Amino acid sequence: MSLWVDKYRPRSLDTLSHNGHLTSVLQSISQQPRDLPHLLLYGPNGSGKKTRCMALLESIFGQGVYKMKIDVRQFVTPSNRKLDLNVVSSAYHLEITPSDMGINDRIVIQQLLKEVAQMEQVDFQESQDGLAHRYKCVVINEADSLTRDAQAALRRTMEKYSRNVRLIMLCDSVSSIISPIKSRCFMVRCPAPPNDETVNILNYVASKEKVQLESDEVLKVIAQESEGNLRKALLMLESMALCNEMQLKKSTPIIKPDWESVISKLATKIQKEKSVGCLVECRSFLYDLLAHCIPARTILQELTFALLRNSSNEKAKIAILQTSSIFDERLSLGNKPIYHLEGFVARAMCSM
Amino acid sequence: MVKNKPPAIQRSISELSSRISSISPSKRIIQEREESNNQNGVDEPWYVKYAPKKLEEVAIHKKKLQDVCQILESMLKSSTYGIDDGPRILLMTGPSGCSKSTTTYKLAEELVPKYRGSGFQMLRSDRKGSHVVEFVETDNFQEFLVEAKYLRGPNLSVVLIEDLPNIFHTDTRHAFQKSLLEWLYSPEVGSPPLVICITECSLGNENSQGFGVDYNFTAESVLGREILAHPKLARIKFNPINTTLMKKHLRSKCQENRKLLIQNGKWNSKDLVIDQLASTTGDIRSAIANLQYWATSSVEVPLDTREESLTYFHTIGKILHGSRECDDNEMINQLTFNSKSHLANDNFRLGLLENYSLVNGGQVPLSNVCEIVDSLSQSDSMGMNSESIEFALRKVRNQLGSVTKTHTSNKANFPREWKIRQLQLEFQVDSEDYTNVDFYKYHQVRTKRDLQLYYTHYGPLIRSRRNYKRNSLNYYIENLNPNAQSVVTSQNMDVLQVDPNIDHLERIGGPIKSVEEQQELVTNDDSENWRKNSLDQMKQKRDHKLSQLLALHTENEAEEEMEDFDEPIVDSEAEDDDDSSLYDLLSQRHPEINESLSDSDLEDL
Repeated sequence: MSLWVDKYRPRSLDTLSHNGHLTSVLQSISQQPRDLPHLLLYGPNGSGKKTRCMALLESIFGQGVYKMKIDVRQFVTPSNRKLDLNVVSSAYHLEITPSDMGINDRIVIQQLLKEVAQMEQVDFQESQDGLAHRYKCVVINEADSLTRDAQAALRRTMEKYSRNVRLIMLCDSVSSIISPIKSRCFMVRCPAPPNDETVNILNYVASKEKVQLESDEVLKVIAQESEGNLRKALLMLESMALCNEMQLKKSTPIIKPDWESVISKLATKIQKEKSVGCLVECRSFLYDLLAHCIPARTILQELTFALLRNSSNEKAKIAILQTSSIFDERLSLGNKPIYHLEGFVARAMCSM
Repeated sequence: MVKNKPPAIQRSISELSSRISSISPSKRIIQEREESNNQNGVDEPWYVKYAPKKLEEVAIHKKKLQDVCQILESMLKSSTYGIDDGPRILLMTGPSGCSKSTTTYKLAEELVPKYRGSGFQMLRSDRKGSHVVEFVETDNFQEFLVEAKYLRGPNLSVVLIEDLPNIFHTDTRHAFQKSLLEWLYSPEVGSPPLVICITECSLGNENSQGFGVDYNFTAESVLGREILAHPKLARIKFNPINTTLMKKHLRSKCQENRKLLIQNGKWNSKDLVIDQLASTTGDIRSAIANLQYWATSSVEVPLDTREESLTYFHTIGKILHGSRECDDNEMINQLTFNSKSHLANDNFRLGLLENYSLVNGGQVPLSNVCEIVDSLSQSDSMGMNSESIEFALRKVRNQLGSVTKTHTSNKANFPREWKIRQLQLEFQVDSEDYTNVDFYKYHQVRTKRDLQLYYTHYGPLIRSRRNYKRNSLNYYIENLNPNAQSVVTSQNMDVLQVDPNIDHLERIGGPIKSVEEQQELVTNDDSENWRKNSLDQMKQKRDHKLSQLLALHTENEAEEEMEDFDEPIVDSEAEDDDDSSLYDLLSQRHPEINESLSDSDLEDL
């Protein structure tokens, strides 16, 4: 195994950590694999949606689900353009991510589901009730970034092919999922682990990896910084441990993702120096963040929170939030993010 | 001898292609006609009739003339004496009708005889006695250049390229650029001076993204960056002819046609017309043609100077700094009418964003800047239509118009957007490579978003640390006895697994820093070349690595199938202490435990 995040990732339902209630729900689902409903798992990034989904599949199909391969599939758009897409699949499921296919997600999803549905699954594996389950699972990552078009197409497909296909959708928030889909799915909320739970997990990993901890304090700091994102917390722990000879003290500097530190630096700069020169300088950094494919939305969000953290004036806080929401809307309407990010920075400078 | 061609109102594709058909023979016909017409002198356009006979008559600023003269002379010198200093190509760019080619001809007339060696002249009959050899579109450009190489010694001439091959055809353009590069890099010395005149203009092609030859006919898009940046190329930019110079020339034309003007009863109003012409156009050819039209017609006619086409930076400057000649409203009206091709492009708004800070030396109040950026943002969210762009133009001008002016000139910047796009593409290729490694080596599936936010930073960071450790650990293991070796090896699988040839050890896309602005125009061609160099290489590397990984992967799989139920390598029974015993199964898992049939068999059924 490579990274600790992967090495200590639970692989079966009974090894899942945090939120035991949720685990028991999934266990009861897996008891009756023939009746697996379409699932919609939602919760913040790093709360273990994918892990739970894979563990559930494992409990239904066995270890085979972890034996994955990548196929390149070709799709043809109505305008006769050929589209190559990498599809990760095992014998029992396949995974797709809408952001890989851009605006053509409707075609891809329709064709893919149809293809899967037309093949009846034969399973020789013995299941508990002696009957083979005859469906394949399709996991849709980041389902909230599916276009409306694709979602509308999905709802028909979900019913039509429910005999042979089960969908498991994963998303951060259900707000952008249309209600017909929500009503066809069994919704499972995956909450982020509370801080003390995160500390427990970090503690466990640290002891397994023989990281010397001066006290639990540093783990608490990491848990605090990770904001309930277990993936981030584990990656932080590992990189910090490796950078400090496996010894962590309370004073060990936190290694945040570099883009986060760049943004928080930007925020302090904006607050300290309200000038056109500063704005121009900010633009260069915003451009490089964009060049690293950090989504513009994330930049805006992170920047807003950083500004709010630093600001003490209640009025200014309200103004920042207001401008942030305006430019968030414009980001989704426009097509060049730099205008809107810079516009936000300029407005924020003015309103503080 | 003066080059005769119809007044270039706006160089467009159709015009260029029509010029392909008007080949050299017709040129000679015009010359003959010129001689026959000289007696009555009525039918002939004035800009032909009164074309400068001497260098002093050319409408050009003295300083500019000096510059051109100096460069041309040094080129001639190095050709005659066979030395290799000074430029090999003189590039003259500017709008039409600003005396580019006339200057070349007149200068050649004066300078070439000084340097031309005496001896037998081997010139073709139609070129005999001329000091300039011009490329004609029907010729093959490569052959033309090869021939031109021998125009030295007694045959010394200035080689002029004004008609270009069909550069709108990508392959032809690349061949054209290649032969120019060969000329620049050629080890031979003493080649004749090569002069390229490019009449810059924008072509009306509205639905285009980026910046390229299809809608911007400029030196950047025609020649490409490599040629322009070459030290052996000297570039002189011509400006439209200024008002004073224009007036002077127009007045002399009137003077020469005094009789005609009096006859048509226009002598008294001539100053007014001249003022008007000089203030509206910087194109001397068109101004003279207009003057002639006005003078020869017996009735009152409206003056209609041709529309000005402005360069990209000029248009941006107009919006940012305003215009001295007319008020803002009128100027923007003119711009939206005349410079559609610049404005229809998103590049223009990006250019405004990139350059607003240069106004007034950066001394613009923050509140105004805020409004400017806000308007650009609004305009972007309105979509790509002329209204939204006009909105941005007016708002920006309005905000900047209220700023008190101190005149400072800064060099304008070209938008960084295309550079960023390139970097994004590179990042994507790199992160695909990373995904491949994670999938085939570590059996982990990564979604794009997690990659972008976390793994591209943490993954390489952690692995580079491990790689560092691995190096020392390897040394340590070598000095142990075999038994201890295997123990240490199994304990440090994480570390030893890292392979600097396969794993990424540096932040994908490089560390985040600021992206510098750039001052040159970046054309589509340039970025294409750039992409060819870097992106293709990266892709090849990625694919090569992928095949390596695949080989590794199948190898591993075969091994796994062999030792089906063997002990997993990583053993972690050691401490099973606390409440979180959930994890005990974790690291012991083996990829396949009880599968009688392989997956491929299953799928075949």
